Formats: sequence, structure tokens, C-alpha cells
Amino acid sequence: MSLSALTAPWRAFNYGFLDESAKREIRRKTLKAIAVPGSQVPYASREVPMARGWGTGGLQVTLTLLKPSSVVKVIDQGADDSVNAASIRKFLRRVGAADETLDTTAATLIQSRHRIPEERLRDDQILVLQVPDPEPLRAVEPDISEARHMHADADYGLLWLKLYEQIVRSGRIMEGASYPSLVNARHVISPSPIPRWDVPKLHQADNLTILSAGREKRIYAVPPHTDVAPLVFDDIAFRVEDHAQITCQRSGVKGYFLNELPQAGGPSIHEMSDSHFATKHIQKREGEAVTFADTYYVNGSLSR
Amino acid sequence: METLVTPTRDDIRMSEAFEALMWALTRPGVPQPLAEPGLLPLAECLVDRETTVFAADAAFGAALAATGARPAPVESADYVFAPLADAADLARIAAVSIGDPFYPEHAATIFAPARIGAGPALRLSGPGIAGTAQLAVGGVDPAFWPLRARAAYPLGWDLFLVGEAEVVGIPRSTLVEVI
Repeated sequence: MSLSALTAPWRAFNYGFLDESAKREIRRKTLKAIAVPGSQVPYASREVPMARGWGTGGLQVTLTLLKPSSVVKVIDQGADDSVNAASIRKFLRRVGAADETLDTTAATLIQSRHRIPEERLRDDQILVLQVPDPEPLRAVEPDISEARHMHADADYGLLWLKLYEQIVRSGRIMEGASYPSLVNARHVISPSPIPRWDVPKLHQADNLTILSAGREKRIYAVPPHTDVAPLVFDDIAFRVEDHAQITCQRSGVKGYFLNELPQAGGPSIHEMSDSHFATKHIQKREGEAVTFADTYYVNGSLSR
Repeated sequence: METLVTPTRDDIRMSEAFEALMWALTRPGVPQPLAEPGLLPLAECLVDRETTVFAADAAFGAALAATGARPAPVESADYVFAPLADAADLARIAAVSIGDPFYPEHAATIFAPARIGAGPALRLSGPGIAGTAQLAVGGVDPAFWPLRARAAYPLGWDLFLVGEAEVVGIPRSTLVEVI
């Protein structure tokens, strides 16, 4: 066996940018991540033409799943039009010959930084979440070897202690994003820094969610129809952000997760975080034909 | 003008093979159609010089060698291609790695030939399945299922049952009952 027998003819770029051995490794690790929901699987995390911390982990998974029939949506903190999201989307089109979309309902592959769309994802859609810090135990156990022991033992007592201390100090749980959540009653994950609003969307979802941290080199997954339970105490309920009664200044719609925009002089206005969802409401008002999927939240409360 | 990178025929084959495996594992018990019949494309999209393989069939083992994957004894191979049809098969499979508690992903992946849709009925439940799913599988010794259940989750084998033109995934997270 010679090395030349294992290599393909030279091309300026491999399809999907990553070379085939990188893709095979990500495929192997993705399958293991799906088989053990919530378990963090180490992978090599190759270089991509983007700095670590800008979504390299999510990008590598997306590049591996990419095919010419893919319709790609990229979300940056809810928005499709940030420089980061637009650049990733353009890159995916150029190296994958894939179609782009801003519309959640039209996408087959959604790469997202820190949000899950408001419209319900279907069973044929894949959500890839970019993860800065995959280790939920990092704050309570900085030694990653020790954290591995704790995951092996399902020893999450320190996480409960952290939440308890927050209640004692502040009167409520202070975890804003990356709310630690128990997957399939076995592994605690950091669901990436999605707001608390988005955590219930992972529970018994119809879609596959793959989470990937490029800098930290870990892949984990939440398959469809899997239990995802935020860590809560029996007598203190899990609370999402109080956004249900605030109206989006841009679209006039209420009942969804919002960005707060501080104004000169102290007050603030709110705009819907899922930018294209707001745009669709505006288009509908102006008489354009738009399709909406069902939403996870109806009138500001979770619908099951 | 913008140039788009388009896939080669091999890129498409590998992507289709992997998608079948990914959806099979994502939806345990639901047969996923294979664009190309046979085990080889499924192996080719996963294994290379970084992996170890065991093939019960010598001819298939020789075909696998072209990927660069290193042959290994059944107890240490990352990818095991072996039937589960009778007691002798199961005696061999019993030695396959179930991973270790620190690295559950080190467990082996087993690819076994089977007749999908014909044979004893199984009831499946767990992640990826809304409620329960039923699956009929022939060509797998019913004694395999208790053997598989000996591993305590999150350890265990991830199994692909490969039929004529379809593949069924049964990850270790799936509870299998013989009915």
C-alpha cells in the first residue's frame, strides 16, 4: 500500500473545503455523538479559513454534511445578516455549490450561533449549533480530566450546588445562557449559549441537533425525540426570559424572544431576535406571500 | 465570476453513504435506503488509516484494505464487519469492545448483514424514537439481544443491520425487546 494509492487526483479545492480524511473523522465522531446523546466526543478540529471562536466547530460539521442539494441558513445570534453569518453562508455556497436561504422553513441545514429559530424545525432538518465552551462542568471543575471522571460517574452534584448558591445569593437562578441540561437522563450538556427561552425547544424535538466546539474540539448531539431537561429544583420552576408580553418594534409582533436595544437617555426598545421571522411578519403585512411553520411558542408560552 | 466547487462522483457516493448511516442512527429501527448496495460504500465513508477494522469475511477484509484501515483482532477493532447469525458468530461478537466509562465513544461499531422486514419482531424505544418502534429482523440470532444488553449504558455497541438495499441503525441508547 502506497500513499499515492490512498489519495485522489489533485484539485484546487476539495468539495466542502475539508479534505476527505477530516470528513471521515467528523463522520465517525458524529455517529458516536448521536449514539450517546449528550456525550462530548473529542475530534481533531481542522483549520478552516476563519478564526477560532467564530463558529469553526459548527462550520466543520456543516461542511461535512454539505451537498449540492443542501439549502443552508446561517444564524448569528438570531440574525441572518451579520457579517459573520453572511460570510459563512457565502463560503458554504462557494465550497459546496449549495443554495442559501434566510427562511427557516426552506432550509435543510441550519448552522446557528446562540439561537434556535422560533419556527418549529422538521424531522428532515438538521440544526448545527456553534459551541464556545462545551463543558458544563468547566465553572465548577476546571481540570478536564477530573470533569471526564465526573461525566463517567454521572456526578453532577457540583452543578446543583452552583445553582443552589445562586438562589441563596440572588434569589433566583442566574444562568442566562448555556443553561445546564440533562440529556437522555444521563449526560449533562451545555446547550451552547442559547437563551433559556430556547432550551425547551431541544426537548423531544423533531429535528437532529449537532453541537460542535472548534476551539475545544468536541462534538455532541441531541437526536430527535430525546429528553432534554434543564437542571431545576422541585420547588423552583425553570423560567424562561419574560419576553412574552413585549412587542417587537420592527414587526409589531409579540410573544417571541427579543433583543433589547438601549436608547439615548435611558429607555430601551425591543426587536425580535429571529430577524427573518420578523421580516416575514412584515412581508405578510405588506401583502406578500410567505409561509410560516408552527412556532414553539404560541402567545408567549410554550406549546406542545 | 464566482467559481463554485462541485462534488466528484466519489464525493456524492460517500456523502450518500454517510447520510444513510446518520439517519439510521438518528431514527433507530427505521430502514434507510442505500444508494449503492453492499457494505463497502458504508465502510469507505468512515474508515481510513486512523481506524482499525475486523472483517469476518476474508474477501471483504481484502476490499477494506484498499481504504488503508488496519486489520485488528475482533476484541480491539473500531469497526467490526461480522454476521450475527448463529452461536459461533455470537461467541466472536461477545469479545467486541464496549468502550470505557471515560471514553464511551471508543466502543466498536458493528456492521452485520440481516434481512430487514422478515423475521422475529423487535420493539425499540429510546432517543430518536417517538414512543416505540417495531422492527422485524431476520438473520440475527435472538440470543444477540440479551448479549447486547449486558453492557451498561453509556457503554455498548452501535449496530448497523445492512440489508439488500437498506440499512437500519440501532445505537447503544436504544432499548431492544424481543416480542
